[in-house]
Amino acid sequence: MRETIKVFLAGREVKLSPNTMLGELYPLLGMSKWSTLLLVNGRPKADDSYLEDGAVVTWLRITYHESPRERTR
Amino acid sequence: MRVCDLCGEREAVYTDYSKGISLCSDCLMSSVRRRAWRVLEEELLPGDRIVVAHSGGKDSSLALLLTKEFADSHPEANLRIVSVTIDEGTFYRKASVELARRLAHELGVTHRTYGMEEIHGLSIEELDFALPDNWKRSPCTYCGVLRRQALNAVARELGATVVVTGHNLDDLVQTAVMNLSRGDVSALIKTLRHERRDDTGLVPRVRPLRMVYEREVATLVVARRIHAHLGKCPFTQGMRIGIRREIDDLEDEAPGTKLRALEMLSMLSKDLRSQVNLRRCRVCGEPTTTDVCKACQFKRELSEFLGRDLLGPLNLERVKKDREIVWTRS
Repeated sequence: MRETIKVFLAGREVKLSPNTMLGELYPLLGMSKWSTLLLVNGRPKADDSYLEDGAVVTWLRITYHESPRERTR
Repeated sequence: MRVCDLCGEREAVYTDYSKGISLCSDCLMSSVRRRAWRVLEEELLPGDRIVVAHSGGKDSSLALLLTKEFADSHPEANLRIVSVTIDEGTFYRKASVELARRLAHELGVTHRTYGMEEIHGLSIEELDFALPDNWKRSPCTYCGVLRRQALNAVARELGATVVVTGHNLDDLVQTAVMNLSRGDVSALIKTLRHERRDDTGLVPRVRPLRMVYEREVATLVVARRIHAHLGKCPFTQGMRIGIRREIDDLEDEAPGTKLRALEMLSMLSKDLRSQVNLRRCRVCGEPTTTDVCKACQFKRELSEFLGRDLLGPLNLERVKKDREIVWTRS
């Protein structure tokens, strides 16, 4: 059983627990799931999907309206 | 692989927090289609000539696709569709206009683009360059008012009986809360209720995505590779951005809040008496609730600043020429 998986997040390699779900990355990244869509290897996945070793996670802004709080992050 | 909770076969691409299930692209599409078609069934009439306000963004692209599917599956209703893009003249719009054209072509729908500069005599890009940073309004404020007026005038002159827009659940809840916070009952009713009145010059709006989350739209557009632009308008500012964040926080705490809020407000709005008395603007002749419409008030202040006269009737010459030909092909 692996203790960590490596995930590529915005081009950077990040070590995560093997039972990390995609939806758990939103708070880690300081993002709202209502304004951003996380993609795994370029495709949308359910937030309760487990991330796999080597997954490439990118994101897409889905709203035209940017919050001032998000802009400062 | 996380499989879909409905079909149990395909990989799930979306988590519906309001129902506590995850869905594959096909089951999500079926769910969204069911909600959108319910609106179209309730609000469209046989023989309707539909202008789809199609910016090329994700919401209007999905609205066009679902409306076209609906029309095709109800041939007895004899619905005709034209896709219309109002080009504000920004670098941001260029990519989305091309995608709008491509999707309309793929669906076999006639597509027309009309420029803000052509209709109103100025583009938003020109405003962005010309206005100083400390100007009292952002280009976004002008754009919203001028674009809405141009769209209504284009739809009316094309002979459309309804305008389909891509407003989603998130948009409508935000707008309703903004109207509530301003105490603007007339605007609230206009946001929530579909009304047909022939005497106003205002083409009625149908919003098939009104019970569909923005996140569902984005997921479908990416998962199904629908031609649509997924960028953020660089000019967006204003009250909405703060309200959106607060509503999103509520939705996180109590999933389904947006759906319940819109359902409840829509029910309440049925009992509200509309205070809207529409008349023609004294300057441009477009429908308005005041003596001089908001677009003309804005154009008056811009005319003074830019040093040229922007006031007067909208230039709809090309639209009028298109009236006879656009409906024949769709």
